Amino acid sequence: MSPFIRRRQTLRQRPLSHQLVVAVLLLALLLLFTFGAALFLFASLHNTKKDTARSLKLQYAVFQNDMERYFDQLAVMGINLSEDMSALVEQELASREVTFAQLNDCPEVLNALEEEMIDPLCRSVRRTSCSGAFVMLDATVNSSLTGAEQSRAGLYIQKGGTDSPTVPLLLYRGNASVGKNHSVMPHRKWRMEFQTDKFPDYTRWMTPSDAPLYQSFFLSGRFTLPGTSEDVQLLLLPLRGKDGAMYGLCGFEVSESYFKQKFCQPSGFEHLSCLLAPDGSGLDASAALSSGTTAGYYHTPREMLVLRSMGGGLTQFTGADSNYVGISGLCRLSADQDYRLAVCIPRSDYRRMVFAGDLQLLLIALLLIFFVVICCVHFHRRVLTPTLRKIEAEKQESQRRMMELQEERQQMQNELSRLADVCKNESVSVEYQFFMEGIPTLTRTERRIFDAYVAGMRSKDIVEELGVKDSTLRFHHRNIYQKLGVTSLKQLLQFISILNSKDDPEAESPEGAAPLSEDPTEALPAEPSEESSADTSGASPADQPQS
Amino acid sequence: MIMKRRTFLTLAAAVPGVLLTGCHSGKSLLSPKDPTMLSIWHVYGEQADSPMNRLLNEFNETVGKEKGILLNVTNMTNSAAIGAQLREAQAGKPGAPELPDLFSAHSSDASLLGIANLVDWNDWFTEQELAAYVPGFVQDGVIEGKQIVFPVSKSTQLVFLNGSQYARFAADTGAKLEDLATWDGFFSTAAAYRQWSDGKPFCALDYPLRLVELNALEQGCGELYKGSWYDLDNETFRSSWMEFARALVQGQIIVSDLYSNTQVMTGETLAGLGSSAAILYYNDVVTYPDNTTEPTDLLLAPLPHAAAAQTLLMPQAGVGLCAFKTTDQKAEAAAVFLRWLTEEQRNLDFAASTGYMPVTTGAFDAIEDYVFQQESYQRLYDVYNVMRTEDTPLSEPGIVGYHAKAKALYDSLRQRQKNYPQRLAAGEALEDLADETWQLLCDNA
Repeated sequence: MSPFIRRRQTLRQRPLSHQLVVAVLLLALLLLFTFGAALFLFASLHNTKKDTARSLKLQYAVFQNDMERYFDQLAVMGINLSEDMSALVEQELASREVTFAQLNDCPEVLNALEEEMIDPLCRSVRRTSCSGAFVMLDATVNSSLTGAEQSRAGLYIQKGGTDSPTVPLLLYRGNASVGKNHSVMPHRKWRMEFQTDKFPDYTRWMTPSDAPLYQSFFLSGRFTLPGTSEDVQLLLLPLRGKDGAMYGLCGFEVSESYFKQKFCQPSGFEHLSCLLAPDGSGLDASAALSSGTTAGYYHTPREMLVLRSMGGGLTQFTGADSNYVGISGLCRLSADQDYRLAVCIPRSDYRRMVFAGDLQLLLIALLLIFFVVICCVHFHRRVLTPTLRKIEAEKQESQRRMMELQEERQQMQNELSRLADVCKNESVSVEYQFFMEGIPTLTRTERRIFDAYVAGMRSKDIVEELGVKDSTLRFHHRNIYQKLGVTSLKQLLQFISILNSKDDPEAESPEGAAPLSEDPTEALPAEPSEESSADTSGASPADQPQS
Repeated sequence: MIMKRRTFLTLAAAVPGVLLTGCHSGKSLLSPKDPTMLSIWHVYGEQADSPMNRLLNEFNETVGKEKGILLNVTNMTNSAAIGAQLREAQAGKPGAPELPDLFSAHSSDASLLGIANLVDWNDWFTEQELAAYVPGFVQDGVIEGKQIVFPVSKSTQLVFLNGSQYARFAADTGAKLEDLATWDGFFSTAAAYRQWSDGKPFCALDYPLRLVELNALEQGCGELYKGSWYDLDNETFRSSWMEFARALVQGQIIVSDLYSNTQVMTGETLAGLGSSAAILYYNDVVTYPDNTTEPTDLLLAPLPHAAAAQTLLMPQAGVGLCAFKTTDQKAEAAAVFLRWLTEEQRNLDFAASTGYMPVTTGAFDAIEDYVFQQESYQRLYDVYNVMRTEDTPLSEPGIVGYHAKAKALYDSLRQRQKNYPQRLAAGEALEDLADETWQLLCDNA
């Protein structure tokens, strides 16, 4: 037998009350543990909506910081570029003793200028976080050509791959031989000069201004570079002479693919989109540069999105085909140019996260209920039901025993009645007659003891009642036995029973019915037969007081 | 009663179990609710309006959205550079971008990345599916018995000419396009053009070694390769090289600076000899140093052949798509994309907009009757169809490290080629200078 089974048997053998106490304690402990675990789990749960809003605010803060710092640094580099390039133009003009207006139709000087500018421009583009840089001069090599009014000389250099110190540079615009001389190979869609009609807001940017350079940089709108599928935005600065004359424009290119790689955000959101869009009533995602996460792809909205507050700091961005949730705010990129920044996730993702949070709560609640139900069911099956069954069985056993006792009592009463009848009708035995005759001979004390037995008292009670010792009682017993002709207390009690049963109910009391002075023979029954005497002798002394 | 209790307990145990374990039962590992993201490096339309990018956007918006696949272009480069870039990324070189999931590559580049690291497309395509592709193109991508490179498009080499200038040249010299049918005619035309143009090279070659090989093979040179380079004792191969070398040192042809199309666009050369896919990069106009422009009016001619060639050969090039082994989910997503990309009509449209040959048998046959939007594309495929019927396609050598050696040789030639005509004019012997170029090739072994 295994220790476990022995243990179970030992437990079963314990009293029911003990078993119940142990079981209830176990249940209480289990429930305590369950609720403890539940509390632990609940403590680790949070409000999904608030958590999402907090995370998005953090993402927004990081993205905003990135943008402000990036465009600040780009502006610094742009100002340096503008100053350097303006100085080079003035230097070249001075060395050749020509005015800027004379650069038109002067390919030699323009080529020489490009030769001078290409190295510093290449250095600048490599030093700067950008996808390209350009210097556009307000002059053309051949003003007699058709469309020359939109054609402008200059250099436009692009990084030919991922931003790295060794990335090859490509000449998108400029003199091809100048580029080749400096290992800057022509771009696949190379053209010699810029086309101002394809340059966003060219006339606006070329308007002369007295504002200092640090207040004169702008971020152009997003446009597709001619001949390519690349969308870019340009940080534009004027190229001005010391006298304030406009020589052209210069600046840096930030392509969509560069922005996407440079500003991808580390994030726990899988489909986070970060947008830099022109300021407006809504969020013009079609005109925005965007980035996603470092982990992978992101869905970029490509339409005008309407902004609506959702409460809790969150904004809903809604378009015809797009629905996003996130944070939006304005960011000042230059003296008089604001941009709208947005950090958002698809609304379907947001809903899924909220649903997942709610589902988690529901699961925990279900789990709790499940544990409680299992505990209760187990307690019911293993403890309560067996205990109740035992109680029921013991109750039935008690009832059965009670019934048996009642039956025995009834049988005894019947037997006594029968014996009394026998005593009435039959001649009294010699012993009984001697007994009856001896009663008057008892002394006062002996008579009191005798009457006590007749009254149904036991020896122990009589000792207490009379205030005598056991030895004294035994001394009186012997005298009583001698006088009444009995040999034992048992026989004495039998005769007393017969005496009692023969008495008239009205004179049943030995004191009243059989005064010590009266003749006891009047009340003596007929002498009992041997059989009846034998029958009565079988009665237990212990039962006598009951009868 | 007991039964009821048991049922309740079973349900009580089963419900949370089902809720916790989820209900995934389908075969596909893809889910639109949790899209599989694939980064891709490709070579279709670098620096230009990329038809591949448009297709990727279309895929993301349609099948990708439906099945849960998102493709993200993280690098656009060219077939010559992508191998080195992949190896740098694989080696974790500082500054290198992260490895993509999908990438364009030659078989030799794929081999260098480690076959064990790449997806075997046989695991994701049935034999029946692969039977729908041109067998030669499929075979090009088999490495060590595994389908590592999946055919997407194939190219050949053609002669592109600035039609406007060629018309003047032809009018003045009587040159004919038919003259370009043989290398002898090609070099004669080149010499005539140099003279006519006051010293301009006639043609920029993107892959001169490949041309030398084909010329030698058409002359019956036998086995060309020895180890990971050429058999330098092969006389026919050397003779073929010298034909090109003589033209090179005389300034009649040049090794292109980067791409021959830019040298045609800048008016530096009249013609460019390169991949048929270069048509995507040709501008509508040629711009000369004085910023004057004229329409390119692109003309095309088949690749010249050896004069006495018994079997005409056409080079068959072009990268295919490979995938790094990551997860089955990504491999399945990549296979879905490849099936979609090479559906007959889409493959035909893609090929027709990029200058490639389609890879499915149906699309390959249908290209003959395709209606093109641009005249230059129509001309390209007219030439293509002639070559298909007359020439035997020949795949690129799958020699590991070949492309790097070829690039080193081209760089050496680029540095020297400007000076050769001057040195020739200064009195150095033509054969000596041509030998010097042969020595460069030998030094590269």
